[in-house]
Amino acid sequence: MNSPATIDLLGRLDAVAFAADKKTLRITFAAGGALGRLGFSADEATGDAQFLIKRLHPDDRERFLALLQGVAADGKERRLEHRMVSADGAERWFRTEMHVAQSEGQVLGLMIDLTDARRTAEALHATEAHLRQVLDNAPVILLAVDKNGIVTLTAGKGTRAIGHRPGQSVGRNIFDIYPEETELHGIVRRVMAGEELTTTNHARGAWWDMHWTPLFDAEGRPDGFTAVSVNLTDARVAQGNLAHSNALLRATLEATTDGILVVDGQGNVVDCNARFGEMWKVPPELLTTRNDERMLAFAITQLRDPEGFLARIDEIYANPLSVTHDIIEFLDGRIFERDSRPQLVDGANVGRVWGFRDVTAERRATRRATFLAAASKILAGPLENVTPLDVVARMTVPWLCDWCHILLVEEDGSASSAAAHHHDASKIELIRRMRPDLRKSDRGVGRVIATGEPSIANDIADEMLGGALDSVPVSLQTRDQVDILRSLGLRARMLVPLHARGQIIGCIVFATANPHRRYDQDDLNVAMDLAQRAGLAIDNQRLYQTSKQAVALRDEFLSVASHELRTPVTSALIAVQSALSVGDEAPVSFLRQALGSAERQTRRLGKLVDALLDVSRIQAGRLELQREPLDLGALAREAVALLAEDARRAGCDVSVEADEALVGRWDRARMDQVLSNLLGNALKYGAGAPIHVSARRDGERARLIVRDHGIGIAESERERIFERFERAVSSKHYGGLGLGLYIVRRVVDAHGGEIRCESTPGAGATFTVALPLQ
Amino acid sequence: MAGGVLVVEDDEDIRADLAAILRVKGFAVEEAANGKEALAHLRDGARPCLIVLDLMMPVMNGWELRTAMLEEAALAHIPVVVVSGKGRIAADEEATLAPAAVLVKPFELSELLELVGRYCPRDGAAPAGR
Repeated sequence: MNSPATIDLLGRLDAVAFAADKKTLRITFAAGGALGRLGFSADEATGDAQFLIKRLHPDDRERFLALLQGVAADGKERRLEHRMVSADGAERWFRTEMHVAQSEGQVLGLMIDLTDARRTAEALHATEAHLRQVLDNAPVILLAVDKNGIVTLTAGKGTRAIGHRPGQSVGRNIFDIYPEETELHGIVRRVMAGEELTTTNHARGAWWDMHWTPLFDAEGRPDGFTAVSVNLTDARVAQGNLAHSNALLRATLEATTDGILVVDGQGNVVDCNARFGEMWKVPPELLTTRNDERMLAFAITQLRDPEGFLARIDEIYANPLSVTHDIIEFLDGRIFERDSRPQLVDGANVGRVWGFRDVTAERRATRRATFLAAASKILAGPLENVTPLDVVARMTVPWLCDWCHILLVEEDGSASSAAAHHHDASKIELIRRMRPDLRKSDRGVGRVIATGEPSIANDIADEMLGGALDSVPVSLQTRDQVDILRSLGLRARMLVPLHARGQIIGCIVFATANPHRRYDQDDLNVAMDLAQRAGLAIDNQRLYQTSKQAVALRDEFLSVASHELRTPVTSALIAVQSALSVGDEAPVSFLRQALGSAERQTRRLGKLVDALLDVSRIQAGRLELQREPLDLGALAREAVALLAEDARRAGCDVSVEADEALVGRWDRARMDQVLSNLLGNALKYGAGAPIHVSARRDGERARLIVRDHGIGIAESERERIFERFERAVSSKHYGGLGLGLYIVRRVVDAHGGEIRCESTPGAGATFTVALPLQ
Repeated sequence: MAGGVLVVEDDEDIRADLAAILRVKGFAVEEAANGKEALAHLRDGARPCLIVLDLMMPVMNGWELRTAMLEEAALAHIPVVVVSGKGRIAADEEATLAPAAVLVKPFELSELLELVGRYCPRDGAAPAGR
């Protein structure tokens, strides 16, 4: 053992071999390469074999010596890891094995320097720990599973997140760990067969993205797998939030009644909502092209001012940061509010968002209210030199129509043009030539007049106005008139009835040549409202005229009444004063004449007062009849007899022709009044000519006729003379209150009869009263 | 020829009563029932000292007669007392009628007699009474 060859050989080992005496336990020999590591030479070791003991780490020396003692005592092999202290004081680790040499009674030991191996192991351990730490802190769950399905490794922060303690799963079957994962069997089978998989699942309140990677042994046979689960919850939440925001944005875009258009910095359409397409009437196929230029070209064809529109867009794009608001007017009458603002992302201008709001209804409502208020004001105010219809025709052009024509129904059933207006004044005369045939009650103005129903016609094409007169949808009288309508370019029209005096008096035509203008219910409402106001104005104007006439009539009546009352008073006064002014010698004939006048004039006064009272009664509806059996023939003869003196004075020869026993149930005093009034009129207006009275039976009626040959009554006056205070002649020529015929008619009416007047002016008048006998 | 008073009045009672009292008071009286009769009478050469003219009459009324008279030089100067049944007549109407005087019905007989006395001589034939 001490041979140089052995020592040399031992010197090449990274170890120290030593021998110790079995009895004394003293080190007798030590050699080996590792001595150098401890800072000793081989000579030093040979010179003092005890140095090994000295170089033992103080903490490990006792264990070492105990081991040596134990081996020496029972001869069993033992081993120990311990530290040695090198010459420079550094610690080195050794593993020492000791056993008893059978032949020499020595304990032999071999110390193997573990320091480097141990350092490597520690480094490895540190690396593994680090790796472990990294894995354990990774937001994943890492599982390694062997080919039997047994978990061999778990790592990752996710493990703790799902409540697993470290190492808890190791050694267990994966199916036992996740019994609830029904899909796991299929996945494990596939990955065990060598397939690499990625799955996503929701478990324990979180979303997981799982990557399954098969493992193979050295021969390439499947040997288990790893499963890495990445918690996607945060990503999912972020992604969900984004999706939520997008959905919210989309829903908001689609929920708004505004049209929204988003255009990028290059002017390309990025997005728009469905409402935008509807509002601009963009065909879906054009909308999907997202081609800004084509969409713009399409849009401007609908606008009132396309050039202005394009100029405004250029202006807006020239000021990329501008926020704008303006109004767009369409040919079809629609009005949009347009708002735009830049789209800024982190301060960078990436495009522009346009909003379009259809404010047609509001604008029109405002305009309508303003218009109707103005119309009302004008129509309610004093109209100088214009009729309410002129006002209507002028006011409605051009905002409601290009032309307005107002037609009135004449007494003979024909239509007359009462007012017309066109924004091109040169066309007004053309319009005035339009004359509907009101007998055509199935179409156009004729139908509106016949039914009182308004009508709207839109999208009128020239062809519709072509062809024969009977085939056109308007009620015009001649083909020429229809041609004028075509030349005016009629495209849409509204017809509304004009009511006044409680009946349809005409029709208002609102028409346009604008092919984009379509009349709707709102327009019709305005037109009807206007027609109603015009009708009221007509009524008011008429009432005003009537009341003015009534006032004039009253003044005239007061003047006439004053004259009528003054005359008998004057006459009576003259008669009485005459009688008083003469002496006792006055002839009797003079006095008789005076007193006769006084009596007649006083009676006349009495009759006037009666007539005034009758009018008052009739007005108050208190004309009461006291019917009794009455012979009209006899009554007529009596009345003529009573007026014999008046007839003589008037120079009239009065003849009577009456059936016998023409008896009915009438009021004697009132019928007497009828007779005396008719006869009085005949004497007054037919003085100097014969008068004929007849009372005859005519079936179930009695017919009383009073015919004179006086001045007669013009046709236009024949109805009027039966009204209160009316007369057919000037009060400068004829006296009378103008009440006689009024009272006659009311009395006849009260008896259920009727009165009519026939006359040839200048040749006399015939009044015929028909009275039911019962 | 200077005539008497011409009474133009359609109301027969008034005309007869006026004529009777004027005659009784000693005036010559002629009568006409309307303007037409009166104008015919005047054109026949009658030249009354005074015309008592009612305004409101049939056939031809007082205004029409007066207008016709004023257009004929021979008749224009004849004094006319207008009798108004409608109260006081308006100034412009009075200017047109150019009357010597206006009597408003009902008037006092004495007023009329005084006016007639101013323009017409009494023939003194039969002045009754005073």
